Amino acid sequence: MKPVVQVKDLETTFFLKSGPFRAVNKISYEINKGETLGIVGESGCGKSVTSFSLMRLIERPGKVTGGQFLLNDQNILNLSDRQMEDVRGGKMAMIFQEPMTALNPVLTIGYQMDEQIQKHLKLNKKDARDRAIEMLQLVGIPSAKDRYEAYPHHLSGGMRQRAMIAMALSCNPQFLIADEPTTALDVTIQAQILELFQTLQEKMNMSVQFITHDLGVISEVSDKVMVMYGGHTCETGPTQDILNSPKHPYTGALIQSRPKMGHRVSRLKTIEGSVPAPHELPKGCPFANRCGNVLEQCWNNKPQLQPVNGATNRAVACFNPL
Amino acid sequence: MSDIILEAKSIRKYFPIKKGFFMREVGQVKAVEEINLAVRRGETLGLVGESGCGKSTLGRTLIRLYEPTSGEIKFDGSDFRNLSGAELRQKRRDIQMIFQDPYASLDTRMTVGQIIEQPFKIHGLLPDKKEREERVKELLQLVGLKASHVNRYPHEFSGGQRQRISIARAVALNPKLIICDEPVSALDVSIQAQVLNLLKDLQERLNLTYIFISHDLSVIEHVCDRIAVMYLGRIVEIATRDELFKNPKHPYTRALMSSIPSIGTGKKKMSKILSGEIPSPINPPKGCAFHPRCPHKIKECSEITPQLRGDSPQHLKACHVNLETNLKEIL
Repeated sequence: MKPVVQVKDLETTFFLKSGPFRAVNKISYEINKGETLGIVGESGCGKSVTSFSLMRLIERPGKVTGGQFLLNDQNILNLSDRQMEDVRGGKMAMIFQEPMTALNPVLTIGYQMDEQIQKHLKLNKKDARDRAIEMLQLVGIPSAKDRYEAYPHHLSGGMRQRAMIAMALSCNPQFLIADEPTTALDVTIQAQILELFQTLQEKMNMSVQFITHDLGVISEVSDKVMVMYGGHTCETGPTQDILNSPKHPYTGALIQSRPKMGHRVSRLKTIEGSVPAPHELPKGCPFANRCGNVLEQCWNNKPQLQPVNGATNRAVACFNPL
Repeated sequence: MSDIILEAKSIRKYFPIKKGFFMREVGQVKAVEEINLAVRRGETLGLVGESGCGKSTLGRTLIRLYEPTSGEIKFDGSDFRNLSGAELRQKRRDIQMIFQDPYASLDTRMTVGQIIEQPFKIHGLLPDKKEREERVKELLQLVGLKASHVNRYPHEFSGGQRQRISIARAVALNPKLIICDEPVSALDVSIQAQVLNLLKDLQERLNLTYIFISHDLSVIEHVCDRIAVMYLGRIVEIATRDELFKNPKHPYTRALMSSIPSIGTGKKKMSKILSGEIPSPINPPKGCAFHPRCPHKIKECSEITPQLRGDSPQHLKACHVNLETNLKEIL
């Protein structure tokens, strides 16, 4: 069976006064039906820009400058803006980190849902309303009929995120992008949302791209992982393989720098320095200046993704892997 | 010198809710309720809980950034609650605070040198300019920055470096107690580890006592000697670190622990998650504040507010139910 999502050599560049800067550099991946890909990385690694590129939400001075994104064999990056309106919110949808800024504060939850449902499912007003209320119930919002009339500020953070999920799923998308959907929430609420997410994904058999900086969350929701740094892919593979035996020094350092419950150490391992500014990235491997395994060649040559021990589902971009 | 550096008795902090043209008081937010707490010299006491549980308010009330509504605070042998004027300023030298957001807690129009110099100016110490500059440079090096950074502005630094600047400012006057209010929550994972290590080094070198506020149990476990778990303005459980993590007794503590995603356990169905949300502190539930979400509640829970108590003073909990210790079931 063909993958639902195929991204090939995606490239997004921002044309800044100080010169062009490539935020996403030749990224490729595939997501099968019902599968979840987790994208991990720290701020500035390009994980959000990747998603915005797929949704065609990149604005000037940024531009998708190369590559392909096929959603069920339809090349999304070639669509006109008008055609894109039909796809966005319909076949593919996105959930954002901060539901308060993603929802319109002066319109009711119901109005915002109806608008989308009427457009994509071609329903009349009354049916759209029923569908919206049904979705609100599905995501576990109590007294959904009242909430339909509510404004975003009437809801708590967890409820707002549920409403966002209801909205994103209301038109049965084939592909869902979730950009740090639980980062702004408390842990007990996060657990509720993650569980809801998994149940719904199974029910609707969606392909999901789940973006987060939290390795714990990734471990619990995703089937496979892509680790990003400085706009490049460091490593890809099945989630548990990567978390249990990371190959890229960056992945290894990320895992070790996180305090683990039940495994107490006197000092945490750290990654020296901080993520360099875009124009300060090393010429070769973007991680070279912070890497513990750095070799001479890392400074001038960019490592390409290579299969790990001949495996077809695991690859790492490193000259001197762990 | 007593072993206890800070002692709080029955601390309450209510915020008035004002409405209408005349700003009449129509209610109160009960942010902190009946807190008793003792902090020992040299230890790190953790306050953990979800947003709205009152952990930050408690931290600020303890050093009187907020005036407590009632209660007593003893700090380093003095009646801190009733100090005023010069005496209060004198004592405040010994308590400092590090805030969560290093973007908001540093004045963008001051250079790093001016920021770190402020405490000396306010307290009239080191009047000699040369000496002060020397000390500022020393402090910068102490927190892992360069002395040459002294004339730069906060926006020229990354998040982790800015947090180092606020740490330098906090330790400038050789305080005895530092309240760290979510000091690493706004930082990336790899930077978090650097700042946590720095805080630990400074504690050893400067003999500091920390009150460490965080919502992240894994960070709390890493840095704290004793931990107080808060829910809706009250402490529900307090114990030494090892005791709390081996043998959590309050249902809320257990729920918190089990909702933390863990690495390498595989894609799994979350089990034992807590339903519902934190109730409003304006009108908290009667009895135990946790009872509407508690899976183990009994009749008393909705009537009588449980007090903090326990068999050993090392481990206290505020709960009517005695849970069996079966850790496998929890984690």
